[in-house]
Amino acid sequence: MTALEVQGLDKSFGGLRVTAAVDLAVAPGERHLIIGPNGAGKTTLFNLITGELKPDRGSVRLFERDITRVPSRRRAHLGLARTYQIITLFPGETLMHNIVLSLLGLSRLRWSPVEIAMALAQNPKVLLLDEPFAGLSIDERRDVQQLLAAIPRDVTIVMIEHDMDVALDFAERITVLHFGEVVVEGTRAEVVAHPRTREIYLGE
Amino acid sequence: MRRLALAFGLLVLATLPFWVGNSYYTNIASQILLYAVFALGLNVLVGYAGLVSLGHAGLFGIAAYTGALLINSGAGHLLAILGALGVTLLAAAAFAMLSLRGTGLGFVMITVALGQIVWGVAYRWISITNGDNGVSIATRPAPFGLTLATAPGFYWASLVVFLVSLGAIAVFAASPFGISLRGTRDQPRRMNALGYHVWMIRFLAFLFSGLWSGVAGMLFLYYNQFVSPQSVALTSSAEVLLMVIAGGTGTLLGPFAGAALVVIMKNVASAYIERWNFVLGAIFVAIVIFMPEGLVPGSLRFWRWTLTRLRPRRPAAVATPVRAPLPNREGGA
Repeated sequence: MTALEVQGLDKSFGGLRVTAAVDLAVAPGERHLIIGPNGAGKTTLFNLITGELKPDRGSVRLFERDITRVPSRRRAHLGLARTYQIITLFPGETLMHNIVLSLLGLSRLRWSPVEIAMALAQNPKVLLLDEPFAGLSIDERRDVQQLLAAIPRDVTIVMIEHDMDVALDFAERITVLHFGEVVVEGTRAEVVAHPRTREIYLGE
Repeated sequence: MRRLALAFGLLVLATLPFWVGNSYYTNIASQILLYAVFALGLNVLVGYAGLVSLGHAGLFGIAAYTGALLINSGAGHLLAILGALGVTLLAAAAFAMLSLRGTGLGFVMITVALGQIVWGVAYRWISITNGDNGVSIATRPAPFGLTLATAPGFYWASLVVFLVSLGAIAVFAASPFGISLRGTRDQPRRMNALGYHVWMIRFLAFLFSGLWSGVAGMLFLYYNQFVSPQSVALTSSAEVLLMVIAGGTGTLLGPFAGAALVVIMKNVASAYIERWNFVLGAIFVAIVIFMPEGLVPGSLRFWRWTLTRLRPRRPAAVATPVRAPLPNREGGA
Protein backbone atom coordinates (compact mmCIF):
# COMPACT_ATOMS: atom_id res chain seq x y z
CA MET A 1 0.00 0.00 0.00
CA THR A 2 1.33 3.40 -0.97
CA ALA A 3 -0.20 6.75 -0.10
CA LEU A 4 1.20 8.37 -3.22
CA GLU A 5 2.79 6.66 -6.16
CA VAL A 6 4.18 8.22 -9.32
CA GLN A 7 5.33 6.11 -12.23
CA GLY A 8 7.29 7.14 -15.31
CA LEU A 9 6.13 10.77 -15.20
CA ASP A 10 7.28 12.72 -18.25
CA LYS A 11 6.66 16.41 -18.89
CA SER A 12 8.24 18.62 -21.52
CA PHE A 13 7.75 22.33 -22.14
CA GLY A 14 8.56 22.54 -25.83
CA GLY A 15 12.01 21.01 -26.18
CA LEU A 16 12.79 21.24 -22.48
CA ARG A 17 12.24 17.98 -20.64
CA VAL A 18 11.31 19.10 -17.13
CA THR A 19 10.61 15.71 -15.60
CA ALA A 20 11.96 12.53 -17.18
CA ALA A 21 10.45 9.18 -16.20
CA VAL A 22 10.15 10.17 -12.55
CA ASP A 23 9.20 7.37 -10.15
CA LEU A 24 8.19 8.05 -6.58
CA ALA A 25 6.56 5.89 -3.92
CA VAL A 26 5.51 7.28 -0.56
CA ALA A 27 4.15 5.02 2.19
CA PRO A 28 1.23 6.14 4.37
CA GLY A 29 2.40 8.38 7.20
CA GLU A 30 5.85 8.82 5.70
CA ARG A 31 7.76 12.13 5.75
CA HIS A 32 9.30 12.29 2.32
CA LEU A 33 11.69 14.99 1.15
CA ILE A 34 12.36 15.87 -2.47
CA ILE A 35 15.54 17.84 -2.91
CA GLY A 36 17.34 19.17 -5.94
CA PRO A 37 18.94 22.38 -7.18
CA ASN A 38 16.84 25.17 -8.66
CA GLY A 39 15.37 24.08 -11.96
CA ALA A 40 15.49 20.38 -11.10
CA GLY A 41 11.75 20.06 -11.78
CA LYS A 42 10.54 19.86 -8.18
CA THR A 43 7.64 22.26 -8.42
CA THR A 44 6.68 20.85 -11.83
CA LEU A 45 6.49 17.43 -10.20
CA PHE A 46 4.09 18.87 -7.60
CA ASN A 47 2.00 20.46 -10.33
CA LEU A 48 1.80 17.11 -12.09
CA ILE A 49 0.79 15.34 -8.88
CA THR A 50 -1.96 17.87 -8.11
CA GLY A 51 -3.13 17.92 -11.72
CA GLU A 52 -2.40 21.59 -12.36
CA LEU A 53 -0.26 20.30 -15.21
CA LYS A 54 -1.03 17.29 -17.39
CA PRO A 55 1.82 14.79 -17.83
CA ASP A 56 2.91 13.71 -21.31
CA ARG A 57 3.33 10.16 -20.03
CA GLY A 58 3.13 8.26 -16.78
CA SER A 59 0.65 7.86 -13.95
CA VAL A 60 -0.17 9.23 -10.52
CA ARG A 61 -1.87 7.07 -7.88
CA LEU A 62 -3.37 8.16 -4.58
CA PHE A 63 -3.89 5.19 -2.23
CA GLU A 64 -3.69 2.80 -5.21
CA ARG A 65 -6.33 4.73 -7.12
CA ASP A 66 -5.23 6.01 -10.53
CA ILE A 67 -5.89 9.77 -10.50
CA THR A 68 -3.90 10.69 -13.61
CA ARG A 69 -7.05 11.83 -15.43
CA VAL A 70 -8.92 13.17 -12.41
CA PRO A 71 -9.31 17.00 -12.49
CA SER A 72 -7.24 18.76 -9.86
CA ARG A 73 -10.23 20.08 -7.90
CA ARG A 74 -11.45 16.47 -7.53
CA ARG A 75 -8.02 15.41 -6.30
CA ALA A 76 -8.41 17.94 -3.50
CA HIS A 77 -11.62 16.18 -2.47
CA LEU A 78 -9.76 12.85 -2.50
CA GLY A 79 -7.42 14.14 0.19
CA LEU A 80 -4.57 15.79 -1.68
CA ALA A 81 -3.57 19.25 -0.43
CA ARG A 82 -0.67 21.49 -1.25
CA THR A 83 0.98 24.73 -0.25
CA TYR A 84 2.50 27.24 -2.61
CA GLN A 85 5.86 28.81 -2.47
CA ILE A 86 4.91 32.38 -1.73
CA ILE A 87 6.99 34.89 -3.57
CA THR A 88 4.19 37.33 -4.31
CA LEU A 89 3.23 40.43 -2.40
CA PHE A 90 -0.09 40.55 -0.67
CA PRO A 91 -2.57 41.08 -3.44
CA GLY A 92 -5.34 43.49 -2.60
CA GLU A 93 -3.31 45.27 0.06
CA THR A 94 -1.87 48.69 -0.48
CA LEU A 95 1.72 49.19 -1.48
CA MET A 96 2.34 50.94 1.83
CA HIS A 97 0.86 48.02 3.71
CA ASN A 98 3.18 45.61 1.90
CA ILE A 99 6.22 47.73 2.63
CA VAL A 100 5.27 48.12 6.29
CA LEU A 101 4.77 44.38 6.55
CA SER A 102 8.17 43.71 5.03
CA LEU A 103 9.79 46.27 7.32
CA LEU A 104 8.23 44.63 10.33
CA GLY A 105 9.49 41.31 9.00
CA LEU A 106 5.97 39.96 9.08
CA SER A 107 5.56 38.79 5.57
CA ARG A 108 7.23 35.38 5.64
CA LEU A 109 6.88 34.70 9.32
CA ARG A 110 3.18 35.12 9.16
CA TRP A 111 2.70 33.61 5.79
CA SER A 112 4.36 30.22 5.75
CA PRO A 113 2.34 28.89 8.71
CA VAL A 114 -0.78 30.38 7.13
CA GLU A 115 -0.04 28.42 3.97
CA ILE A 116 0.32 25.21 5.96
CA ALA A 117 -2.78 25.96 8.02
CA MET A 118 -4.81 26.55 4.84
CA ALA A 119 -3.73 23.17 3.52
CA LEU A 120 -4.37 21.41 6.85
CA ALA A 121 -7.82 22.95 7.05
CA GLN A 122 -8.80 20.68 4.18
CA ASN A 123 -8.08 17.67 6.41
CA PRO A 124 -5.79 16.11 3.81
CA LYS A 125 -4.48 12.57 3.65
CA VAL A 126 -1.45 13.59 1.62
CA LEU A 127 0.08 17.04 2.11
CA LEU A 128 2.51 18.52 -0.40
CA LEU A 129 4.68 21.34 0.94
CA ASP A 130 6.49 23.55 -1.55
CA GLU A 131 9.59 25.01 0.16
CA PRO A 132 7.95 26.03 3.44
CA PHE A 133 11.32 27.26 4.78
CA ALA A 134 12.27 29.48 1.85
CA GLY A 135 13.23 32.98 2.96
CA LEU A 136 12.71 32.37 6.68
CA SER A 137 15.08 33.40 9.46
CA ILE A 138 16.55 30.74 11.75
CA ASP A 139 13.98 31.42 14.48
CA GLU A 140 11.13 31.34 12.04
CA ARG A 141 12.39 28.06 10.63
CA ARG A 142 12.26 26.55 14.08
CA ASP A 143 8.62 27.65 14.42
CA VAL A 144 7.71 26.02 11.13
CA GLN A 145 9.65 22.86 12.08
CA GLN A 146 7.66 22.62 15.31
CA LEU A 147 4.46 23.16 13.38
CA LEU A 148 5.33 20.32 10.99
CA ALA A 149 6.34 18.00 13.84
CA ALA A 150 2.89 18.48 15.36
CA ILE A 151 1.08 17.20 12.28
CA PRO A 152 -0.35 13.76 13.12
CA ARG A 153 0.98 10.63 11.46
CA ASP A 154 -2.20 9.89 9.56
CA VAL A 155 -1.17 12.73 7.24
CA THR A 156 1.48 11.71 4.73
CA ILE A 157 3.83 14.59 3.93
CA VAL A 158 5.93 15.23 0.86
CA MET A 159 8.15 18.30 1.05
CA ILE A 160 10.19 20.09 -1.58
CA GLU A 161 13.34 21.88 -0.52
CA HIS A 162 16.38 23.00 -2.43
CA ASP A 163 18.46 23.54 0.68
CA MET A 164 19.07 20.04 2.03
CA ASP A 165 20.27 21.04 5.50
CA VAL A 166 17.09 22.84 6.47
CA ALA A 167 14.77 19.90 6.10
CA LEU A 168 17.09 16.99 6.83
CA ASP A 169 15.75 16.37 10.35
CA PHE A 170 12.26 16.16 8.99
CA ALA A 171 12.93 13.57 6.30
CA GLU A 172 12.65 9.82 6.63
CA ARG A 173 13.15 9.11 2.96
CA ILE A 174 14.69 11.42 0.41
CA THR A 175 14.50 11.65 -3.36
CA VAL A 176 17.16 13.69 -5.14
CA LEU A 177 16.00 15.26 -8.39
CA HIS A 178 18.45 16.66 -10.91
CA PHE A 179 17.58 17.94 -14.39
CA GLY A 180 14.20 16.25 -14.08
CA GLU A 181 15.55 12.82 -13.25
CA VAL A 182 15.57 10.86 -10.01
CA VAL A 183 19.29 10.53 -9.24
CA VAL A 184 19.22 9.01 -5.76
CA GLU A 185 16.38 7.60 -3.70
CA GLY A 186 16.54 6.05 -0.23
CA THR A 187 16.58 6.60 3.50
CA ARG A 188 18.09 9.77 4.90
CA ALA A 189 21.39 8.05 5.78
CA GLU A 190 21.67 6.37 2.39
CA VAL A 191 21.05 9.54 0.45
CA VAL A 192 23.37 11.69 2.54
CA ALA A 193 26.17 9.15 2.13
CA HIS A 194 25.62 8.67 -1.60
CA PRO A 195 28.44 10.04 -3.80
CA ARG A 196 26.00 11.42 -6.40
CA THR A 197 24.29 13.54 -3.76
CA ARG A 198 27.61 15.09 -2.81
CA GLU A 199 28.44 15.64 -6.44
CA ILE A 200 25.25 17.56 -7.12
CA TYR A 201 25.34 19.55 -3.91
CA LEU A 202 29.02 20.21 -3.58
CA GLY A 203 29.98 20.14 -7.23
CA GLU A 204 32.73 17.60 -6.59
CA MET B 1 -24.57 55.78 12.80
CA ARG B 2 -24.55 53.44 9.87
CA ARG B 3 -28.10 52.29 10.51
CA LEU B 4 -29.22 55.86 10.97
CA ALA B 5 -27.76 56.81 7.60
CA LEU B 6 -29.41 53.79 6.02
CA ALA B 7 -32.81 54.61 7.54
CA PHE B 8 -32.46 58.22 6.47
CA GLY B 9 -31.52 57.16 2.94
CA LEU B 10 -34.53 54.87 2.75
CA LEU B 11 -36.82 57.61 4.01
CA VAL B 12 -35.49 60.04 1.41
CA LEU B 13 -35.94 57.49 -1.37
CA ALA B 14 -39.42 56.43 -0.25
CA THR B 15 -40.77 59.98 -0.01
CA LEU B 16 -38.96 61.32 -3.07
CA PRO B 17 -42.04 61.86 -5.29
CA PHE B 18 -43.55 64.13 -2.59
CA TRP B 19 -40.66 66.48 -2.15
CA VAL B 20 -39.46 66.73 -5.76
CA GLY B 21 -43.08 67.52 -6.56
CA ASN B 22 -42.59 67.23 -10.28
CA SER B 23 -43.06 64.18 -12.47
CA TYR B 24 -40.02 65.09 -14.61
CA TYR B 25 -37.63 64.63 -11.69
CA THR B 26 -39.55 61.63 -10.38
CA ASN B 27 -39.04 60.00 -13.76
CA ILE B 28 -35.33 60.74 -13.62
CA ALA B 29 -35.22 59.05 -10.22
CA SER B 30 -36.97 56.01 -11.74
CA GLN B 31 -34.32 55.91 -14.46
CA ILE B 32 -31.57 56.06 -11.86
CA LEU B 33 -33.11 53.11 -10.04
CA LEU B 34 -33.51 51.00 -13.16
CA TYR B 35 -29.94 51.64 -14.25
CA ALA B 36 -28.80 50.98 -10.68
CA VAL B 37 -30.38 47.51 -10.91
CA PHE B 38 -28.57 46.99 -14.23
CA ALA B 39 -25.25 48.18 -12.77
CA LEU B 40 -25.71 46.07 -9.62
CA GLY B 41 -26.15 43.01 -11.82
CA LEU B 42 -23.08 43.81 -13.89
CA ASN B 43 -21.12 44.49 -10.70
CA VAL B 44 -21.62 40.85 -9.66
CA LEU B 45 -19.32 39.97 -12.55
CA VAL B 46 -17.04 43.00 -12.65
CA GLY B 47 -16.62 43.53 -8.92
CA TYR B 48 -16.98 40.12 -7.32
CA ALA B 49 -15.89 37.78 -10.12
CA GLY B 50 -13.28 40.07 -11.68
CA LEU B 51 -14.75 39.45 -15.14
CA VAL B 52 -15.37 42.61 -17.17
CA SER B 53 -18.31 42.22 -19.53
CA LEU B 54 -19.03 44.62 -22.36
CA GLY B 55 -22.00 42.63 -23.61
CA HIS B 56 -24.54 43.02 -20.84
CA ALA B 57 -26.69 45.42 -22.84
CA GLY B 58 -27.31 42.35 -25.01
CA LEU B 59 -28.91 40.55 -22.04
CA PHE B 60 -30.73 43.73 -21.01
CA GLY B 61 -32.07 44.04 -24.55
CA ILE B 62 -33.02 40.38 -24.86
CA ALA B 63 -35.23 40.77 -21.78
CA ALA B 64 -36.81 43.99 -23.05
CA TYR B 65 -37.43 42.64 -26.57
CA THR B 66 -38.76 39.28 -25.33
CA GLY B 67 -41.08 41.06 -22.91
CA ALA B 68 -42.31 43.48 -25.58
CA LEU B 69 -42.92 40.75 -28.15
CA LEU B 70 -44.74 38.56 -25.62
CA ILE B 71 -46.98 41.44 -24.55
CA ASN B 72 -47.75 42.35 -28.14
CA SER B 73 -48.65 38.75 -28.93
CA GLY B 74 -51.32 38.94 -26.22
CA ALA B 75 -49.53 37.51 -23.18
CA GLY B 76 -50.29 38.90 -19.72
CA HIS B 77 -47.69 40.94 -17.88
CA LEU B 78 -46.79 38.20 -15.41
CA LEU B 79 -46.22 35.71 -18.22
CA ALA B 80 -44.26 38.31 -20.20
CA ILE B 81 -42.00 39.07 -17.23
CA LEU B 82 -41.39 35.41 -16.41
CA GLY B 83 -40.86 34.56 -20.09
CA ALA B 84 -38.45 37.46 -20.56
CA LEU B 85 -36.42 36.49 -17.51
CA GLY B 86 -36.39 32.83 -18.57
CA VAL B 87 -35.13 33.70 -22.05
CA THR B 88 -32.56 36.07 -20.54
CA LEU B 89 -31.27 33.31 -18.28
CA LEU B 90 -30.93 30.98 -21.26
CA ALA B 91 -29.11 33.69 -23.20
CA ALA B 92 -26.88 34.36 -20.18
CA ALA B 93 -26.05 30.65 -20.03
CA ALA B 94 -25.07 30.72 -23.72
CA PHE B 95 -23.07 33.93 -23.22
CA ALA B 96 -21.29 32.38 -20.23
CA MET B 97 -20.49 29.11 -22.01
CA LEU B 98 -18.82 31.01 -24.84
CA SER B 99 -17.16 33.87 -22.97
CA LEU B 100 -15.84 31.84 -20.01
CA ARG B 101 -13.50 30.09 -22.41
CA GLY B 102 -11.33 33.12 -21.75
CA THR B 103 -10.54 35.42 -18.86
CA GLY B 104 -9.22 38.98 -18.87
CA LEU B 105 -9.13 40.58 -22.30
CA GLY B 106 -10.32 37.43 -24.05
CA PHE B 107 -13.45 37.43 -21.92
CA VAL B 108 -14.09 41.13 -22.67
CA MET B 109 -13.74 40.63 -26.43
CA ILE B 110 -16.09 37.65 -26.53
CA THR B 111 -18.74 39.55 -24.57
CA VAL B 112 -18.39 42.49 -26.98
CA ALA B 113 -18.94 40.13 -29.90
CA LEU B 114 -21.96 38.49 -28.27
CA GLY B 115 -23.50 41.86 -27.42
CA GLN B 116 -23.01 43.00 -31.00
CA ILE B 117 -24.70 39.85 -32.32
CA VAL B 118 -27.78 40.71 -30.24
CA TRP B 119 -27.63 44.27 -31.55
CA GLY B 120 -27.31 42.99 -35.13
CA VAL B 121 -30.37 40.78 -34.69
CA ALA B 122 -32.37 43.66 -33.19
CA TYR B 123 -31.33 45.98 -36.00
CA ARG B 124 -31.59 43.66 -38.99
CA TRP B 125 -34.23 41.03 -38.24
CA ILE B 126 -36.90 43.53 -39.16
CA SER B 127 -39.81 41.10 -39.50
CA ILE B 128 -39.59 40.35 -35.77
CA THR B 129 -37.86 43.29 -34.13
CA ASN B 130 -39.14 46.04 -36.42
CA GLY B 131 -35.52 47.09 -37.00
CA ASP B 132 -34.50 50.62 -36.18
CA ASN B 133 -38.10 51.63 -35.40
CA GLY B 134 -38.14 49.43 -32.33
CA VAL B 135 -41.08 47.80 -30.57
CA SER B 136 -43.68 49.66 -28.51
CA ILE B 137 -46.04 48.29 -25.89
CA ALA B 138 -49.40 49.84 -25.02
CA THR B 139 -49.61 49.51 -21.24
CA ARG B 140 -47.68 49.21 -18.03
CA PRO B 141 -48.72 46.47 -15.61
CA ALA B 142 -50.88 47.15 -12.53
CA PRO B 143 -49.66 44.70 -9.84
CA PHE B 144 -52.16 44.16 -6.99
CA GLY B 145 -54.38 46.79 -8.59
CA LEU B 146 -51.80 49.56 -8.16
CA THR B 147 -51.30 51.54 -11.31
CA LEU B 148 -47.81 52.14 -12.61
CA ALA B 149 -49.02 54.55 -15.26
CA THR B 150 -48.21 57.62 -13.13
CA ALA B 151 -44.67 58.81 -12.49
CA PRO B 152 -44.80 58.24 -8.68
CA GLY B 153 -46.44 54.82 -9.13
CA PHE B 154 -43.69 53.68 -11.45
CA TYR B 155 -41.04 55.20 -9.19
CA TRP B 156 -42.22 53.20 -6.18
CA ALA B 157 -42.36 49.99 -8.18
CA SER B 158 -38.79 50.63 -9.36
CA LEU B 159 -37.74 51.38 -5.80
CA VAL B 160 -39.15 48.03 -4.63
CA VAL B 161 -37.33 46.19 -7.41
CA PHE B 162 -34.14 48.10 -6.66
CA LEU B 163 -34.30 47.30 -2.94
CA VAL B 164 -34.99 43.63 -3.66
CA SER B 165 -32.01 43.48 -6.01
CA LEU B 166 -29.80 45.31 -3.50
CA GLY B 167 -30.84 42.90 -0.75
CA ALA B 168 -30.38 39.84 -2.93
CA ILE B 169 -26.92 40.94 -4.04
CA ALA B 170 -25.92 41.86 -0.47
CA VAL B 171 -26.92 38.38 0.69
CA PHE B 172 -25.16 36.88 -2.33
CA ALA B 173 -21.93 38.79 -1.69
CA ALA B 174 -21.81 37.79 1.99
CA SER B 175 -22.73 34.14 1.36
CA PRO B 176 -20.13 31.36 1.17
CA PHE B 177 -20.74 31.31 -2.57
CA GLY B 178 -20.01 35.03 -2.82
CA ILE B 179 -16.80 34.55 -0.86
CA SER B 180 -15.69 31.68 -3.05
CA LEU B 181 -16.49 33.84 -6.10
CA ARG B 182 -14.09 36.50 -4.80
CA GLY B 183 -11.60 33.70 -4.26
CA THR B 184 -11.81 32.77 -7.94
CA ARG B 185 -11.21 36.44 -8.78
CA ASP B 186 -8.05 36.75 -6.67
CA GLN B 187 -6.53 33.25 -6.78
CA PRO B 188 -8.22 31.01 -9.35
CA ARG B 189 -5.37 28.53 -9.33
CA ARG B 190 -5.39 28.13 -5.60
CA MET B 191 -9.18 27.86 -5.51
CA ASN B 192 -8.90 25.00 -7.96
CA ALA B 193 -6.23 23.32 -5.81
CA LEU B 194 -8.53 23.74 -2.81
CA GLY B 195 -11.15 21.72 -4.66
CA TYR B 196 -13.45 24.45 -5.97
CA HIS B 197 -14.96 24.19 -9.45
CA VAL B 198 -13.78 27.59 -10.66
CA TRP B 199 -15.60 27.45 -14.00
CA MET B 200 -18.92 26.47 -12.40
CA ILE B 201 -18.65 29.26 -9.81
CA ARG B 202 -18.08 31.81 -12.57
CA PHE B 203 -20.87 30.33 -14.67
CA LEU B 204 -23.41 30.60 -11.84
CA ALA B 205 -22.26 34.15 -11.08
CA PHE B 206 -22.79 35.01 -14.76
CA LEU B 207 -26.35 33.65 -14.59
CA PHE B 208 -27.07 35.67 -11.45
CA SER B 209 -25.64 38.76 -13.06
CA GLY B 210 -27.64 38.11 -16.23
CA LEU B 211 -30.85 37.68 -14.25
CA TRP B 212 -30.59 41.20 -12.80
CA SER B 213 -29.71 42.61 -16.20
CA GLY B 214 -32.94 41.03 -17.40
CA VAL B 215 -34.90 42.55 -14.52
CA ALA B 216 -33.43 45.95 -15.41
CA GLY B 217 -34.32 45.34 -19.07
CA MET B 218 -37.96 44.76 -18.12
CA LEU B 219 -37.98 47.92 -15.99
CA PHE B 220 -36.54 49.79 -18.96
CA LEU B 221 -39.22 48.40 -21.25
CA TYR B 222 -42.02 49.39 -18.89
CA TYR B 223 -40.50 52.80 -18.23
CA ASN B 224 -40.20 53.76 -21.91
CA GLN B 225 -42.94 51.40 -23.17
CA PHE B 226 -40.54 51.07 -26.05
CA VAL B 227 -37.30 49.29 -26.92
CA SER B 228 -35.03 49.86 -29.89
CA PRO B 229 -31.60 48.61 -31.04
CA GLN B 230 -30.02 51.69 -29.48
CA SER B 231 -30.54 50.29 -25.98
CA VAL B 232 -28.78 47.05 -27.00
CA ALA B 233 -25.78 48.75 -28.60
CA LEU B 234 -22.20 48.61 -27.41
CA THR B 235 -22.40 52.18 -26.09
CA SER B 236 -25.15 51.00 -23.76
CA SER B 237 -22.91 48.20 -22.44
CA ALA B 238 -20.05 50.66 -22.02
CA GLU B 239 -22.30 53.14 -20.21
CA VAL B 240 -23.37 50.66 -17.55
CA LEU B 241 -19.78 49.47 -17.15
CA LEU B 242 -18.75 53.08 -16.57
CA MET B 243 -21.48 53.38 -13.93
CA VAL B 244 -20.01 50.38 -12.10
CA ILE B 245 -16.42 51.59 -12.36
CA ALA B 246 -17.23 55.21 -11.50
CA GLY B 247 -19.33 54.22 -8.49
CA GLY B 248 -16.92 51.61 -7.18
CA THR B 249 -16.56 47.99 -8.26
CA GLY B 250 -17.27 45.32 -5.70
CA THR B 251 -19.30 47.65 -3.48
CA LEU B 252 -23.04 47.58 -2.89
CA LEU B 253 -23.80 51.28 -3.22
CA GLY B 254 -21.23 52.06 -5.93
CA PRO B 255 -23.45 50.98 -8.84
CA PHE B 256 -26.25 53.17 -7.51
CA ALA B 257 -23.94 56.19 -7.24
CA GLY B 258 -22.58 55.54 -10.74
CA ALA B 259 -26.08 55.20 -12.16
CA ALA B 260 -27.15 58.44 -10.46
CA LEU B 261 -24.14 60.28 -11.85
CA VAL B 262 -24.64 59.14 -15.45
CA VAL B 263 -28.43 59.55 -15.52
CA ILE B 264 -28.31 63.00 -13.93
CA MET B 265 -25.59 64.15 -16.32
CA LYS B 266 -27.53 62.81 -19.25
CA ASN B 267 -30.86 64.40 -18.33
CA VAL B 268 -30.09 67.46 -16.28
CA ALA B 269 -26.73 68.68 -17.48
CA SER B 270 -27.72 68.15 -21.10
CA ALA B 271 -30.38 70.84 -20.62
CA TYR B 272 -27.69 73.43 -19.94
CA ILE B 273 -24.70 72.19 -21.88
CA GLU B 274 -24.98 70.83 -25.35
CA ARG B 275 -21.70 68.91 -25.05
CA TRP B 276 -22.74 67.14 -21.84
CA ASN B 277 -20.77 64.08 -22.93
CA PHE B 278 -17.67 66.22 -22.62
CA VAL B 279 -18.55 67.12 -19.03
CA LEU B 280 -19.27 63.49 -18.20
CA GLY B 281 -15.91 62.50 -19.68
CA ALA B 282 -14.16 65.14 -17.58
CA ILE B 283 -15.91 63.81 -14.47
CA PHE B 284 -14.76 60.28 -15.26
CA VAL B 285 -11.20 61.47 -15.70
CA ALA B 286 -11.41 63.27 -12.36
CA ILE B 287 -12.75 60.12 -10.70
CA VAL B 288 -9.95 58.02 -12.16
CA ILE B 289 -7.33 60.49 -10.95
CA PHE B 290 -8.65 61.32 -7.49
CA MET B 291 -10.74 58.27 -6.60
CA PRO B 292 -9.46 55.36 -8.70
CA GLU B 293 -11.41 52.96 -6.47
CA GLY B 294 -14.70 54.68 -7.37
CA LEU B 295 -17.01 57.34 -5.95
CA VAL B 296 -18.38 55.45 -2.95
CA PRO B 297 -15.13 53.98 -1.54
CA GLY B 298 -13.28 57.15 -2.54
CA SER B 299 -15.69 59.44 -0.69
CA LEU B 300 -15.48 57.20 2.37
CA ARG B 301 -11.70 57.45 2.22
CA PHE B 302 -11.83 61.25 2.03
CA TRP B 303 -14.32 61.29 4.90
CA ARG B 304 -12.08 59.16 7.14
CA TRP B 305 -9.03 61.18 6.15
CA THR B 306 -10.81 64.37 7.14
CA LEU B 307 -11.83 62.84 10.47
CA THR B 308 -8.31 61.72 11.33
CA ARG B 309 -6.95 65.12 10.39
CA LEU B 310 -9.42 66.86 12.67
CA ARG B 311 -9.16 64.59 15.70
CA PRO B 312 -5.69 65.45 17.18
CA ARG B 313 -6.61 69.14 17.32
CA ARG B 314 -9.34 68.50 19.85
CA PRO B 315 -8.21 69.17 23.43
CA ALA B 316 -9.56 65.88 24.79
CA ALA B 317 -7.92 63.82 22.06
CA VAL B 318 -5.99 60.72 23.09
CA ALA B 319 -2.25 60.82 22.40
CA THR B 320 -1.45 59.52 18.95
CA PRO B 321 -0.41 55.86 19.01
CA VAL B 322 3.26 55.07 18.36
CA ARG B 323 2.49 53.02 15.34
CA ALA B 324 -0.30 54.37 13.19
CA PRO B 325 -2.87 51.76 12.18
CA LEU B 326 -2.06 50.20 8.86
CA PRO B 327 -4.12 51.63 6.05
CA ASN B 328 -6.70 49.08 5.10
CA ARG B 329 -7.92 48.55 1.62
CA GLU B 330 -11.13 50.51 1.30
CA GLY B 331 -13.85 47.91 1.61
CA GLY B 332 -17.42 47.84 0.43
CA ALA B 333 -19.90 50.39 1.64
